[in-house]
Amino acid sequence: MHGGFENETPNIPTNSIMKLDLIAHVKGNAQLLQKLENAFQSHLKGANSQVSGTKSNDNSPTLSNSSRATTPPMQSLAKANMKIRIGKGEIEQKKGQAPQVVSFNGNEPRDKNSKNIESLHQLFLNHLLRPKEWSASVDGQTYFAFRRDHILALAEEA
Amino acid sequence: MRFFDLWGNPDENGDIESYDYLFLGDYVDRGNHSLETICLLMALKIRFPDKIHLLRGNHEDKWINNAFGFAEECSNRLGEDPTEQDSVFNKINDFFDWLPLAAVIEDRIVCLHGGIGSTLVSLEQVEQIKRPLEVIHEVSSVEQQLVVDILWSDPTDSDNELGIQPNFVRDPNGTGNIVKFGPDRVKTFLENNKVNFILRAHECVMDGFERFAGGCLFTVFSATDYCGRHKNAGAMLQITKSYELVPKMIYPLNNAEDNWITDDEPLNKRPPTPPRWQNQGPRNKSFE
Repeated sequence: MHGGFENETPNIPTNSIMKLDLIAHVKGNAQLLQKLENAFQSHLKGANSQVSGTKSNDNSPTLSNSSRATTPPMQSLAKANMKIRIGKGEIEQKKGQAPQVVSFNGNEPRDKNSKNIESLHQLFLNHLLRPKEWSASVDGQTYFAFRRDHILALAEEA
Repeated sequence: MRFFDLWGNPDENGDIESYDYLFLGDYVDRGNHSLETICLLMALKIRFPDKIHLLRGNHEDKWINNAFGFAEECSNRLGEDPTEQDSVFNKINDFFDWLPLAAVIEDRIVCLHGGIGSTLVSLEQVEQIKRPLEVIHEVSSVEQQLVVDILWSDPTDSDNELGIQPNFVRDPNGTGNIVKFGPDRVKTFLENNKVNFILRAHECVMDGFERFAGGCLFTVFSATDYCGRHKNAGAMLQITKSYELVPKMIYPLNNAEDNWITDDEPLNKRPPTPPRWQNQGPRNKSFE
């Protein structure tokens, strides 16, 4: 996927391509794993119905070793011409530039449990509205969690 | 306004969508977290445009916040040159130039940062001020004086001091542009505009809020332990549906060194405005 995060600045995309082993991250949650498998299966059906290991008639995949086999490698997703949907917002990257909000679909239902980021201002809110999580380690003289171009974009939007 | 005090209050669960929030200015300078404060307010304004309302204070002015801490903070924390055209410092000050100078709540409560000074008579005067607006300190027009009055003036030191009085603290050179206004001015203004209260900030008050003009003007100041020196409480005012003004106290956290610029050198160079209870007589040093 595009847009990784550094541990020190977990709310700031790094503008780089990042590989995530989603299966490893959600393997402890059967519900999430099922959703993930469904998503990949539908993607593969559209792209290539002959992918090895895919059970095309299986509408209710279960947690099993076979689910790993159906998961396409992350690189294939990165190569695809895809916009990254972050909550309601669609963010895409132009080469060498910071991610920019290019559209905003207000009609899309919002997942209350989602921690996804909707747009630039939401990046700031997610971080700044939780001062207790980071204030103790912040030296106000030397550290600020956001980059200049993000602040400039926020001021422009405001 | 101080970032950590604000978000210890009114509650940690957040009730932004249930109320309108009106901020009375001074979002930068003095403290160590101006960037957090203004970025949070801008993000909130974008996210909740009809619920978050930001008025302009006298520190939302590049000539002031260049000297009182914000430019230095941008330089130190972002590694930028504030004098560059495309600096964060300049961009945020461009945003400040668009902020409104006053607000009226339900045709009853006039809100502004400083006061009515010597020239604000009617609310129509405020409506006629065009934005973006650069604050001019060497006043040469009626409108420039009006802006300085709204952003810089204070009530007189007590209800016994009437009329227009010199403001020695903020105008040490005696230009006469920054004044104090008496309770008689307040009552005349309220009658002329058919409103009940003036709500303003601009001065540190010991309990976070203070009444003036027989309870017709409220000063509210949310920054606690101002400049790490005064141990004052802060406050916000909740306005009920029956238009009662209910103070909500914010108490100091005893972490001045984490929040305020407490080094002697910058404080000597840019001495803090004395709190309201010390506003008597001329100061030894002027602003530099």
